[in-house]
Amino acid sequence: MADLPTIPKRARRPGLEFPSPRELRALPVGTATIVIVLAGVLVAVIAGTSELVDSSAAAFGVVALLVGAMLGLAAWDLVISWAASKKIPSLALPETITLGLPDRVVPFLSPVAFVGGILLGHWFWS
Amino acid sequence: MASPRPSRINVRDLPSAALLVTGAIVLALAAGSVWLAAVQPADVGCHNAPLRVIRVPQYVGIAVCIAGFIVGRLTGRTAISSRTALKERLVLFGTPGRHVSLAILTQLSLTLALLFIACLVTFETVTLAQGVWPITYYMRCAAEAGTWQTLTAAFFFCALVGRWLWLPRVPTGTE
Repeated sequence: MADLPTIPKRARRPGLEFPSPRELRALPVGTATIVIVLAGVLVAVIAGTSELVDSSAAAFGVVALLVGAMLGLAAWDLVISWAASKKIPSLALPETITLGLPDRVVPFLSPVAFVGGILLGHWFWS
Repeated sequence: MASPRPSRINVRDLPSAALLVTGAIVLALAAGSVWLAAVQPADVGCHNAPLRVIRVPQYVGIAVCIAGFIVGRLTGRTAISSRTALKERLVLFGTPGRHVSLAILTQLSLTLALLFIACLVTFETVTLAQGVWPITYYMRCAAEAGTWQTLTAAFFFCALVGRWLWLPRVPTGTE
């Protein structure tokens, strides 16, 4: 009887490999999220202006959608970081986000957004 | 000769720790008060719907929130202007592998915080659509029934937000 070729125990079928962290990072998740958010905003505007739902509820629906989109992105990034921490630890560390703005301006974005948000909320509920 | 091991306690961290502990106590007390009010809503001294105008002008509340945000930023992080100083601080937290674990833990915290905020905003949306009290009304009720307590809780909540969201300058240097 001829010797059968030895099959490695951990061999996997080609095509069933879990994507590497680099491949996962390369997926256009951000673009897909922007498309979903824009579609949601369009639906909310139509629903709010046609009085299908209360306009305040429609406005907060947009906010919920934006927060949900950020939650989805954060969860996606967390999954990639967790997967990468096993194989490529450098990919698990936070990336530097470049906004194309002067370095001196960037630290003031969040306080401006915070104050603007409070004033907007005050105006909305007054 | 070996270089001296950096101290785990930095005097400049004390205001940060003090604000964090005080904020945790104040917000825990506020959460307890909200829970008691939810259990016995008849004992809560506010109108239905809650008043928009309370004992202090609304701009005082806005000023308190902004002040808390600024205090949170000023006490939240010590000034680290160079990469060398940043590395010295990171030594206290162990090896690069441990840094990765801490980075993932921070990401997990961010994700959970966003999940919490998403639940709140969804609740606000649904209540507005259903015509029942949204979160805003509960805040107004709290401000009407316990003005200074609500302002104190708002101050410390915004301090924690400022501590977390107001990003520092990126340390510079070639090291």
